Amino acid sequence: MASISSSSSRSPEGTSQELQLTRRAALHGQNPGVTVDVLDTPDLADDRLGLYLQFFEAQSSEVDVYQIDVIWPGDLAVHFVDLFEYGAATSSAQHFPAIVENNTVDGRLIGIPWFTDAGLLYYRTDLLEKYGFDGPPATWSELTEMAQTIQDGERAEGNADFWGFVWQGNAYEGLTCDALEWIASNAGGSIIEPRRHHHRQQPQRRRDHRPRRQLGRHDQPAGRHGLRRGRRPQHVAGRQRRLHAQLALRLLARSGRTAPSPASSTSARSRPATPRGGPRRDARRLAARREPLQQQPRARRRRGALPRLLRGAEDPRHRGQLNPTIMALYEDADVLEATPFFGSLYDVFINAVARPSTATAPNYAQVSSAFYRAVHSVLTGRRGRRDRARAARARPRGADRASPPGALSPTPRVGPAASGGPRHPTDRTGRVEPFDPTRPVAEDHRPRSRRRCSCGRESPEGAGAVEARPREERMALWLLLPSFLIIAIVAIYPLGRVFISSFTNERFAAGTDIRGEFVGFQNYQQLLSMTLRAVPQRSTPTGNPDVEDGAPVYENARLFLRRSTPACATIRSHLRPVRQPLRPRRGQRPDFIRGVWDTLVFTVSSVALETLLGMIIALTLAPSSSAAV
Amino acid sequence: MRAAMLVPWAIITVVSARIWEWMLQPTRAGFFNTSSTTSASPTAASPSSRLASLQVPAMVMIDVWKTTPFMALLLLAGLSTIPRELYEAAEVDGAGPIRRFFSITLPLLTPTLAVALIFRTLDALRVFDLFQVVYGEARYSMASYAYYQLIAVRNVGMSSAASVVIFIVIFVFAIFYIRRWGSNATSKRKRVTKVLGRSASGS
Repeated sequence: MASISSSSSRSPEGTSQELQLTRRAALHGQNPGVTVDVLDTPDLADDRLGLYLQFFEAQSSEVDVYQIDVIWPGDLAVHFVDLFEYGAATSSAQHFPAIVENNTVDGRLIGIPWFTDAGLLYYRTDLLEKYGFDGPPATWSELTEMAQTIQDGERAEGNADFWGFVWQGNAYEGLTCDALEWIASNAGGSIIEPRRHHHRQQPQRRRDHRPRRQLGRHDQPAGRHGLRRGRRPQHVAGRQRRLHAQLALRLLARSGRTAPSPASSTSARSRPATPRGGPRRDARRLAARREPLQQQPRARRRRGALPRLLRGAEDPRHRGQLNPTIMALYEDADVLEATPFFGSLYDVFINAVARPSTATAPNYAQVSSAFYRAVHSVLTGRRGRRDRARAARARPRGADRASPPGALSPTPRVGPAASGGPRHPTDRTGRVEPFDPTRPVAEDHRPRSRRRCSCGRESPEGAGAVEARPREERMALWLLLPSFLIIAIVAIYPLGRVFISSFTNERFAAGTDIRGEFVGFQNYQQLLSMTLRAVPQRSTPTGNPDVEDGAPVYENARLFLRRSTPACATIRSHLRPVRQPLRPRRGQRPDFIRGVWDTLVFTVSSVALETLLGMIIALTLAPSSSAAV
Repeated sequence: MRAAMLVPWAIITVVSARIWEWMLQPTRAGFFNTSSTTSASPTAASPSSRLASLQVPAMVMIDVWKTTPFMALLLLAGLSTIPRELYEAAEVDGAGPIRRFFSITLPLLTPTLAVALIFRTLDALRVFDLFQVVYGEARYSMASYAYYQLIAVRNVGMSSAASVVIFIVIFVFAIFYIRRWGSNATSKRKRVTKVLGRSASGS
């Protein structure tokens, strides 16, 4: 029996379609004697990854073939077999090379592309006509201009909720795609280039920050403030309208490792309505989901079913409305007749700019979230342009060890944070003993007579009082012993496990032969340490350093902190420094420190309010005879 | 009436969190945004950034909405254990409602209150679902940060360290409560029973 884990990531229609396709492909790939079960999985890619990781961690043999996201291959490669060994070389050659390359990790093909997609700009031809535009915008600045004109015009006519351009700007993986598209189309390269060198800012890139920010400020009504995820129906709810009607263009392919070559960009420029930042390279990403079929190592014995499953997946009929990854289909006459815009998508998929998921593996999630959060804080105006560029450069510290250190830490760091070395040191010794689950955790080896007092609450008189207890009480403790043992097993074992692993650099579902190494207090150091930063000296209105009685005067630390590191403003009042110049500080992991603070604020205020309100309600509802006030 | 009160408590947290998230959307779709902008400025054009600074208060509001009934029910149970004779006696002695509340209700309710507070505090400290549903990766609670480190970053060590920090924080709170109310509450209850016992035997 073979199982396929399938799922979906977008809209409800998308969900059911993918699931149906998987089912159909599974049926098609069936051998006599092989049953195929299709498992349903969560909608959101993150949740699905969590589920898959649990399967891997548990060494589960339940699922044989996985449908995975385009950004996962680098990370999950260790769990999948090399499909080249199963004769996939010929069939993989038919697919877009960028996608196949993305699926090839260390020379092993770990997945077969199933389908892909691309973002498209929807626009309304009637509005373009109405405002006298010849056609859809070809560059970002044109897009800004046209959207602004149309929005102003429509609002002037009384349609107060009209939006000129709507796009996904919420802080999640989708924003990485959008921002990367923006940067790449302004010749800014990718976040991390394939050679694992952190991207250094190129002069051109600066120019276009402004228009985007304007777009952000005026034209983007979507949940920008962290109300999560781009659920499009929410964004366009109400009377808001998207520029839409006719399919015109693409957006960017998100996979593949390389930026488009100049040759390909010339061919792309002839394509209609492709926003470009002036005379620059065109950029495409392969869209989020390509669904390779993957097999787990432990399922090798079922290999008989695999080739047929793969053939089933390759059958165009089993791809429905989803964009195929087989190049020939984009030139196929029948296909083009059914969906004419496919012809133009071909170039889009060929010239892909990658989300750097393979280059940054296994730390892509961190890189991406550092990136989209930085972008998001610029969009929401919480951080300036320059700060943003700095933050986007500085944050993926843990991700990119290969790059020169100078490029990575723009802020001078002193104190404990400065000594935080690489997170996965190889020179450390002192491995942690692998935890032995067979070792009894809860068993109490103390002599019987002393075991009793461990079960009950210690009486104030000390151990001697145990003997003085009434018989029944002792009996009760004996009867309670099994429950205490169970509690010990279910509570103390996980607690000990967590405690031990908090001193290692273990990775979740990293494969059987990889074990975490003991790293001491490094994790805690990273979580809790702060970075101290020098407060600049205050300057007089004339621009000279301010000096009072011969001593330099420094800026107000509070204001400086608020201005420079909003994320950590919450901790400012708690750690008052002794020496003046090193006042403000931010955590090395500001998210966690802010999380602790948020949780504490949340707890104290909500519990206080609940108690107060609960008391009022209780007194009101109490039977009038008793507590009645 | 009491059953109706429990409706928010009975709704699954994920569901109610999602409902509140929709209402808090800073767009046309958001109930609060729409209802506050239409009266002031008819356009509702600017996504209101003021909601961003109210993220934690919004969480508090959701949690209060959801959990107050639970608290009220616990306290109600505690109230019903207070013997009515005490109130009658106090009334005869001429104690006003406020005096009765602070001299009888509050002291006798302390054990219940302590239990309820401990429950709620420890619960709130490990809040996960609310933050995860409403803010996802935009803003973390301690627990959802540990989850993010484990699932998205796959860093077991960091996630465990965060969990240990949670454990320590909760531990500190628990110690505080036990110190403050644990022994005190039991001794007080004993004293009260003793008093009651004497009065019962005396009569």
